[in-house]
Amino acid sequence: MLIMVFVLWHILAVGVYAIPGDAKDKFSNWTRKTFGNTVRPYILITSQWQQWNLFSPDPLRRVTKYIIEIEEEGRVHVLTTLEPGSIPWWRHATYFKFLGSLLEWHENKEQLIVRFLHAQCAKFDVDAGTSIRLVYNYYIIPKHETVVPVEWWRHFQPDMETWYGTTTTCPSSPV
Amino acid sequence: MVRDNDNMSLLTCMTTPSRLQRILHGIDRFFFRKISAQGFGLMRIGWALTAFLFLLAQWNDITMYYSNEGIIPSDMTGLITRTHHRFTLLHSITEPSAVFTLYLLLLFTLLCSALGIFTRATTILSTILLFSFHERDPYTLGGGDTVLRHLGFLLSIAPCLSAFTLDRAHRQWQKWKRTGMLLPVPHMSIWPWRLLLWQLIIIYGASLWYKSLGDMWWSGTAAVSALHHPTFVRWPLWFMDYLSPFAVFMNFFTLFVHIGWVSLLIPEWLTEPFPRWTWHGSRRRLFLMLGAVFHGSILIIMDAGSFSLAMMAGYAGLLLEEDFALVRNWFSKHWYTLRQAQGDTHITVLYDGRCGFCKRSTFWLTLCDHLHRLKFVNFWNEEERKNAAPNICTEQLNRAMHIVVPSSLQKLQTYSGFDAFRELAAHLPPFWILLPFLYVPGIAPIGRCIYAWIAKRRITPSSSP
Repeated sequence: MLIMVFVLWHILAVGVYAIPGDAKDKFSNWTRKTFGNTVRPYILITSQWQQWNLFSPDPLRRVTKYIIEIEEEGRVHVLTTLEPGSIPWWRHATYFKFLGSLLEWHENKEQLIVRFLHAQCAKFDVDAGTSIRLVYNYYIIPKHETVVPVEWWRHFQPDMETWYGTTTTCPSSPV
Repeated sequence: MVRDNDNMSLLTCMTTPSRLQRILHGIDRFFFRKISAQGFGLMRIGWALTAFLFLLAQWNDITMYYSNEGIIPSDMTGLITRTHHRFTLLHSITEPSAVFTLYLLLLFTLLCSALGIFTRATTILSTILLFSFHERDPYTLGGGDTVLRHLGFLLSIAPCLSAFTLDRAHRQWQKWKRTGMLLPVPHMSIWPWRLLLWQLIIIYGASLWYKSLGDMWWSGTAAVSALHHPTFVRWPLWFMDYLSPFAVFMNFFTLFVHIGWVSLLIPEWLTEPFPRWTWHGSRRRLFLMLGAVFHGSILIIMDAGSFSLAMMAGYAGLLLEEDFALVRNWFSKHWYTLRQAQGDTHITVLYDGRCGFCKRSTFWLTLCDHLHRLKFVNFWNEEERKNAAPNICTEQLNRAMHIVVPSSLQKLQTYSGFDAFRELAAHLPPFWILLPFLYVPGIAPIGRCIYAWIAKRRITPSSSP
């Protein structure tokens, strides 16, 4: 009997928690409101949290290259570029997932981005006091309303844009 | 006076279950019907090996991701994730060396779980450690890691984990020594299987729901966009252009697979009145196969972390006894049809019944003989030896293992030593992964030398006539 109750509870909890966060219809809102607070502690404690938004609602279209620049003797030069292909294949997926989440700029994460830049100072043995900054070089894959011919992709030249992110100075002691 | 039809009514009442009893019986069967535990055994191996391999790939980055000397110290995790209802051992274990030690422990327990050594304890411990690493730094996580957490949870609570374990192999050996027979296939109640099925349906259902909130998937333009995102693809963009003509098909095939899995919620009895519109075989099996094609393609084309392998590990957990029987019959159909005219369709393995090592070897071969093709003959039994291999003398048999294989041309082919082992590997599913290597040019002479060295050490005074 206990097993049956547990199975039904788990089915309910997983089903409710997995409802897309972006879904705002009446059923979703009612379900979250009615059961959300009850199932959430169980789902979180057992690490069964889940949102199945891989390549959804639409696949990610922004392609970002992270450029780390330093300023030495009044001149700016590139310390390293983090882009697809610059990391060994066995580390690639996890590392870019980590970078993508970490470096997507948000004021709450400024301290973390600074820590990341300080880690680059230590990795590349940059002198203390050197100015270091993160530059986002990106393009957006166009969204089409209908399928375009293959030739369009073959001749596609992206419009690159640049955004200057966090700037800090290399510390005297490592992170 | 009790009349006959009264007796019949009384008997009918006593033997025919009431509606309530039928309902209760149905509920009991829904949760507690016995199924083969082999599916969950395969899932455990797939889960543990997938988690092991992808964590191993993080070897150089462990302290960066998970220790206080990394990018996100534990006092800053509140910036990236919740602080309530969160359990992680790494909240208090923060020193790089301690974190790395815990990581090594996780790798070790995953390997033990895969091999089936102290299976229950190592599976639960590796699940707890996996949760701890995931909760410490969610920024490293992809969909595959989420699937691995769910599978780990289900494996930890499943009532039977003994299938395909070294723990069980030890008990099998004890039984085989005594009786010459193996233990029956392990079984478990169906309720963990139902939870696994529900989880997989939720994955596809929620994903389909999310896709419906956008517009690219339904316009057929999502797949081609993903194929041109350099972060997600394994191959250069110029190569992906060659796949672009197939992108629309891939797009709608993805949606079809999602819808198919959600359709598994519809019970069979609801589809029976519409035979023209429904699949006549098992829908579960159909979508397992289509899903394997789908995730296999993603594994080859895209770099989506552990997602494809984790999902296929989950698929293994849904396999039932009838699926194993179907696969066995499919492999055996051709084999038996071509050899039936010869009478005996088995491969005869002639072994030294006086040699402990040889008896243990035949035990392991029996364990691996999932297609039931082998028959063992102790060559010291003169009558059996003459029936199986009249042209081979005892002295030759004593030097190396011999096998007699009925070929499709109604002949008997004999192999010995390494060649016999290589021939047997083709008939034993656990050895199929080795098969390509056994036929690499140059391997055979090396294999024959190694076999001869082992066989020479095997011959002891007790094994000679």
